[in-house]
Amino acid sequence: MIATIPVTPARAMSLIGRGVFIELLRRKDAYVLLVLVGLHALAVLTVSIVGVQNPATGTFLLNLGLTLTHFASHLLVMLLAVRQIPAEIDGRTLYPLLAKPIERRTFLLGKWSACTACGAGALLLMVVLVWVPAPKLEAYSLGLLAQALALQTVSLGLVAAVSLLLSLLVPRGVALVAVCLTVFLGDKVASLSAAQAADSPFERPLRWLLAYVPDFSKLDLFTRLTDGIAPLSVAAFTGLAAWGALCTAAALALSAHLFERRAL
Amino acid sequence: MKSSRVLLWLAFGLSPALVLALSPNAYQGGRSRSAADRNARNSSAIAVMLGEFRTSMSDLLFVKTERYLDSGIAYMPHIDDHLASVQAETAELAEHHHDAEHGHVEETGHVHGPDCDHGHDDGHADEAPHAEGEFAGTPTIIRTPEDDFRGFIGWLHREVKPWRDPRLGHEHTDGTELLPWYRMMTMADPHNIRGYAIGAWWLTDHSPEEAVRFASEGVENNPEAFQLHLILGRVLYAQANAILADTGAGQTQIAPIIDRAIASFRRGAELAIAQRPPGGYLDPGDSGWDESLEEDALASARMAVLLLENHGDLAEARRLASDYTQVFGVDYVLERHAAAPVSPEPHH
Repeated sequence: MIATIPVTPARAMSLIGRGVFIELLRRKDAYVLLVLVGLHALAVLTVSIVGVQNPATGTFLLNLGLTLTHFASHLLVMLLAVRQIPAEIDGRTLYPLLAKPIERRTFLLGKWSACTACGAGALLLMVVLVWVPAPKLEAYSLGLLAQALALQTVSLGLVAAVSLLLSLLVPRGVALVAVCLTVFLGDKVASLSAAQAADSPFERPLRWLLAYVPDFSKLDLFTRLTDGIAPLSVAAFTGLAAWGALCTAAALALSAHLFERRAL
Repeated sequence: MKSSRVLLWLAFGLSPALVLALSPNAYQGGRSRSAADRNARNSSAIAVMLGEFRTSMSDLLFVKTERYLDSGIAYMPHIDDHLASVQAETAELAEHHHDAEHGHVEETGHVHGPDCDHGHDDGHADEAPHAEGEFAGTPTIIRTPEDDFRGFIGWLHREVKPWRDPRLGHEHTDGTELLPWYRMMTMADPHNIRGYAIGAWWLTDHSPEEAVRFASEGVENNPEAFQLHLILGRVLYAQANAILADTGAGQTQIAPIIDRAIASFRRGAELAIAQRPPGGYLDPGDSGWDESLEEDALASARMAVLLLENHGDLAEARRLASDYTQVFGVDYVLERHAAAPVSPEPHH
């Protein structure tokens, strides 16, 4: 007689998350990005020892490092999330998992939370790598730093959700390019498109429509931080976090809908 | 379950209302936008090592336009506090140059006094190639043969890349090809104040109406940026002058445009006064208010006074000059107008 251990959704999610984490450690992406940020940290450390000529240059170096961190952590989550479901289908490892039985919805949620957690962990590590050696010759608001990190985490969750969604719709290469464009150029493209309809009756509807494409730049406060601007008001911060969470929930709901109806 | 789904999609459907109202990165000032900080960054060895990335990652389009302007030649950063101001960058708009030695005022609001050490041609940009010696001595990114240790490789580098002997000064191109870049710059970042200001200035020569539209768009997107109110006033004034010159229209026909220009200058001056620290650019605090901002603030105040005076409202011009003098302290133009007797005849 074979004893069956009941798999609760929480346990299933934690096991799926463990799998994602092991995969992250086995692949080169995270190491390459960490080495890149590490090289920046080393260069900044060297410069700090030699001496930074003026506070503005110190701030510039910090901004460069934090921008690199934003870029690297988002890229890492994209690379990780976009291959999760296609790789499980291609490798036929999805079938024993779903036969456990694990609900498809739980599977998806486990993948999303693991990708987000890996991204948040990498972000934190990289921010420490950048922040510690950087010459801090000007004042930076620690409150705003906390807000920036919180919103970056929301942003990583959104990237993971959008990547999972797109990986269910198009081949993973195409999905990766599409997520990259949305994350790094989405706000620029939306702004350019809206400007085409400036002063026309279509401007407002177009702006409204384009606002459904997530604007990741709104969740990036690093330049605001290095610019020496005050933290966001509680209302603005909560609004941004709520908007990010709402978009993430919508992307996950759509992914779950598509995944549940997908013939495997 | 179903109701929570409906709620989710309903909330998502309304989410643009929330996100369009939130702009955490739209703020006035900031170190990355400060001319003084930019100069400090540009003068550091790190900035030189980083080459193209020397100003900031978001400023790349501006670097691109700078290169276009200098006929593709890459120069070391050379824009000082004075040249960084909207006032100085657009100084070439002035149509009526007065004798600098007599301390006359140009249309730009800039005063050339006896101690003024820059001429009319020191704006960074110009329409026609400059005379030999303009910005002469500004080193190029690619070294001169005398300084270049690379020998043949250095020669090859100078041959295949745009390069000009830095002793000969800059050769500036016509700005026409720059216009799409400014359009892209401001479309990509509607808070790029410098992009709007300089783009509007370039447009003035080609189409004053377009320039007014472009500057107005800048003001709409950045209502607190006093430099844009200054540039809007300037392009409106240029538009009025163009109408006078092209159509022979009378003063009454251009009066609405002049009134709008005056209102714009006044609004610019009011905003500048509200944002300016008590000591101006000499203020000891970390306000980020540098010489370029001070120059733009003064230009807004002077232009408001001068246009009011030129168009007949002498009492109001005098009152404004007196108010502004109290804020800005010693200023030749404002003091002169504050003390001027009110005469019933407007002078043009």
